Amino acid sequence: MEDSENFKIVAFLCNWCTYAAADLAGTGRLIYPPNVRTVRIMCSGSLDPMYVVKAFLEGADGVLVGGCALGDCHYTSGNYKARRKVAVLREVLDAVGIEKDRLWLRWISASESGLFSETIQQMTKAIKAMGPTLVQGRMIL
Amino acid sequence: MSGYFALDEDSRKDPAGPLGEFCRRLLDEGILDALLVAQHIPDSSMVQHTLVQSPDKMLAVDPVAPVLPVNGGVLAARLTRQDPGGKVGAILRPCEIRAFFELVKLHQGDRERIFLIGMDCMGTFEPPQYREWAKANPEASGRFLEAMLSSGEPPQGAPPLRRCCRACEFPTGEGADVQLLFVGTDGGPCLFAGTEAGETAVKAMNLKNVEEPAKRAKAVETWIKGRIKSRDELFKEVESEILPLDRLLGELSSCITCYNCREVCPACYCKSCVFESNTFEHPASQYLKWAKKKGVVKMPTESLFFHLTRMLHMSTSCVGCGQCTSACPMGIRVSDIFRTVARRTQAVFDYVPGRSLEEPLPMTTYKEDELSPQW
Repeated sequence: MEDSENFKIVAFLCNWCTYAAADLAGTGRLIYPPNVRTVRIMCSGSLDPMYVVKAFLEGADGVLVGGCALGDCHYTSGNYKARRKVAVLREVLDAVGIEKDRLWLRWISASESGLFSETIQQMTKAIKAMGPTLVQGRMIL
Repeated sequence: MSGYFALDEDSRKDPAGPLGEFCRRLLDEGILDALLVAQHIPDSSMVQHTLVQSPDKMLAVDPVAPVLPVNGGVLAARLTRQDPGGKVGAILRPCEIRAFFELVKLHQGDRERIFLIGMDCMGTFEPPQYREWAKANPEASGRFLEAMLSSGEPPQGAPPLRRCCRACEFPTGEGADVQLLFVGTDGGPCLFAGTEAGETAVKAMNLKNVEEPAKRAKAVETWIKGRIKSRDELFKEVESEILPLDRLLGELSSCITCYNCREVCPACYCKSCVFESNTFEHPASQYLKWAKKKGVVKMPTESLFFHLTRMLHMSTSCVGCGQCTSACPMGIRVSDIFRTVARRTQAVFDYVPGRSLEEPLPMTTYKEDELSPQW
């Protein structure tokens, strides 16, 4: 595999929707790029934003946060809270020079395996075009 | 009734005098049972918050001394978290009041349980510099206040104001029951009763109701304008000189992960921080894996991650009190960095920490129709 293909996207997916969609994409044998590494979380709203930063500092090129569609959260409002956390993350990342467009927030319901596969394809393309982050090649303190 | 009241027999040259008398009366006349106020520590030029119950223990009250060893917002929260069993008051600087308001919203304190006295804050020095300067300068606070009011600069020979103070655009005692006013008040300081409780208190003390000082509004506007200018210069400087990741790594390169910045931060209220937990206690082999992957890994591994996490967790509540910078043993400009980032995270929600108890903390609420549908 060429180096330019060897980039990583870390995906934090909510148990009830986007993770189920990813699962369904698998059972449905949908094809999407292998650059994504999935972390299952109970709710997008339960994601401590520090783990997104941790992913970038550990060398991730992109991070996807996936949750239930707005209004459809299994816990009523977790995804609205996730959106606020991501809004803060975008500012902090951008302030230190990690482009905010490397962090995606998408709502993909349990039945939308096609949308999940498409999202990963789009994201892989976009992140590849952006090249490596500032973090790579540096000794991170 | 204007809400403005005169302090008796005051003189600007000795601000501690009338303020001392004012503080004594608050206790003497039973308006308060105890008062949290900055006082000179015996046999030292240093000033610290003290909780005074007995009026005859107000020997060296000096709330305008230009030093802030501890953000008193934390102390006010500690005094009001449960019922203190008496009427407690506190003379606090604006950043302390705003920090206290944030803590109240975080359920760490109770606004109803404390009588707040705010003040026009001229700024503060780094504590060690203050201690040295005040040692050599009797009447240091009076000289400081006089110089600040006449020229906007500390007196000659005094240390510089802390950077965070020069960049503070909230120098008045908003949100307090009573405010001590120095700026734009001809003929000495006066009081402003900002709440019903404040008005009741000053009336009980028989203080003379006076007209709104004619020059006050204009003087405060000019004062704040200067602070905003300095703040914007700070933001520009930090954005270009410190924030880009390569520079930030340079600035943080001397961080010894002592976590002092977190310990003194009024917004960092968690009883147990994730960085004290075993979350980042890795098996020994993990470090070798990291070293192998990158060729080299700095140890301890958590400094940049720690600072970025603190920005994520509490920058929306950062009041810019600068305690983090003052507490950093390595001279890292923590507060300058935090204010610059916090301005952005706060702007997302149009949130000003400490402005109002009515505004919910951004991370505890949401609106269905806000921000972008997705990113």
